Amino acid sequence: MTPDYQNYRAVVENAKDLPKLSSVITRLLEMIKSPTTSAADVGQLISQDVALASLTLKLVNSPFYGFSQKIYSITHAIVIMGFSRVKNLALAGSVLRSFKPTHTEGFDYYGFWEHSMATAITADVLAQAIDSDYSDEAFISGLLHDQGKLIFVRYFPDEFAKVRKLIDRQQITMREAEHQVLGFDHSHIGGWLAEKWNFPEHLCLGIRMHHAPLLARQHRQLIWLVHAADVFSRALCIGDGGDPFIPEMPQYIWNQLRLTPERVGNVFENALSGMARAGDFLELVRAG
Amino acid sequence: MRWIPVSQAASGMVLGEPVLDSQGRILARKGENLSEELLGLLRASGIGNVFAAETAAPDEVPRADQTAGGPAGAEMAAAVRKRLEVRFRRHQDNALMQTIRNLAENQLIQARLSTQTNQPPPRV
Repeated sequence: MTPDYQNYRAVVENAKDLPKLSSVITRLLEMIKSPTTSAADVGQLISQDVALASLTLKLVNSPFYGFSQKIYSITHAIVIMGFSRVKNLALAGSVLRSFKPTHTEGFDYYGFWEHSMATAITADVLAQAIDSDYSDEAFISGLLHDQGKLIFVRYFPDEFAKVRKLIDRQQITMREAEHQVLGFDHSHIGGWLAEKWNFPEHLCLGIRMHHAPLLARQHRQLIWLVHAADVFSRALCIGDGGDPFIPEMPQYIWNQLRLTPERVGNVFENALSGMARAGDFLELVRAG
Repeated sequence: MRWIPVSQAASGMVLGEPVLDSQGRILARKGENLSEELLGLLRASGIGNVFAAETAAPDEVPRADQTAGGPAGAEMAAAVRKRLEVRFRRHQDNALMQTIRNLAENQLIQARLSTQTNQPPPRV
């Protein structure tokens, strides 16, 4: 990598005001690396942080999940949804809360999160449609796939202004413009943050490789799911992905995910309906 | 299957055989789609020729009824199509991307039509 890449990375990694996750989430990310961690351990840990537990329960009880009865405790949520989904929901809530709104010309902060949410929901629906081993991880990976853009806009506003101009003048994607200006793109920056936050490897790769799915060598299906969900959510014109275009989906990935027009039609329908029920997630972004 | 120079390979083609580098490491697998990114990687790795297979495009997806929902529906459908035209304009010759486009178009038009139907009639 070029010296520029290392310099930019150092700026991000050493930034004093980099968004911080709650200490409970940091411990949680450490705990889940151990094979001996139980669902009860995770439930107990999340419950220790009253604000995080109540936020997680708010999301669990939101119309998005549509449970017929109210869920009052993290332990109950784990019984109903499974340990992995509750853990990822707590992580999603914590990340959504840790970013502060960015008001930069040419960047639509709310539109950004709408696109991220649509990608999360589409990845989740798609993972279930193909009965993926990554069904529990697809949502959080889709939600955070573009987090590097938030860091890019906030810490490198001059470069972002150049990227914005290139997108408009040359009618190219944000990623292509970033490569012209920086020599790399937001997926790298998102990957740095994911590593800094000690995210599990599959989540780091889902963020880092979503624009280079054919080069994936580990956790390939998760990376393909995030890539496909990004393409599909852009096709459904939800939110703002930073440019008005759609990345090309390789035929290989369509084949590997065992997609068919009928299956994708159903995914689109369920993604649109999921998006209509996702108000509580987006409210977190609005609240800042 | 055709044996073609990488310089003549185009984005959207599918590899008929895996591509190996001089050390025998797999650079790309059989069935992988030749994207711009992958072509760049192959060129940078000094690959001269590749086996290209014909793309197995999914069945054509019929477009949504253009007259559903009366004049308001037709106007809405035209707006959806125009928006998707911009989004997909880089993929006009890519059968798979056009399939995705048609599926999205059908779903968006259907969703908007059902919203229109559920709305109270406009006050006169």
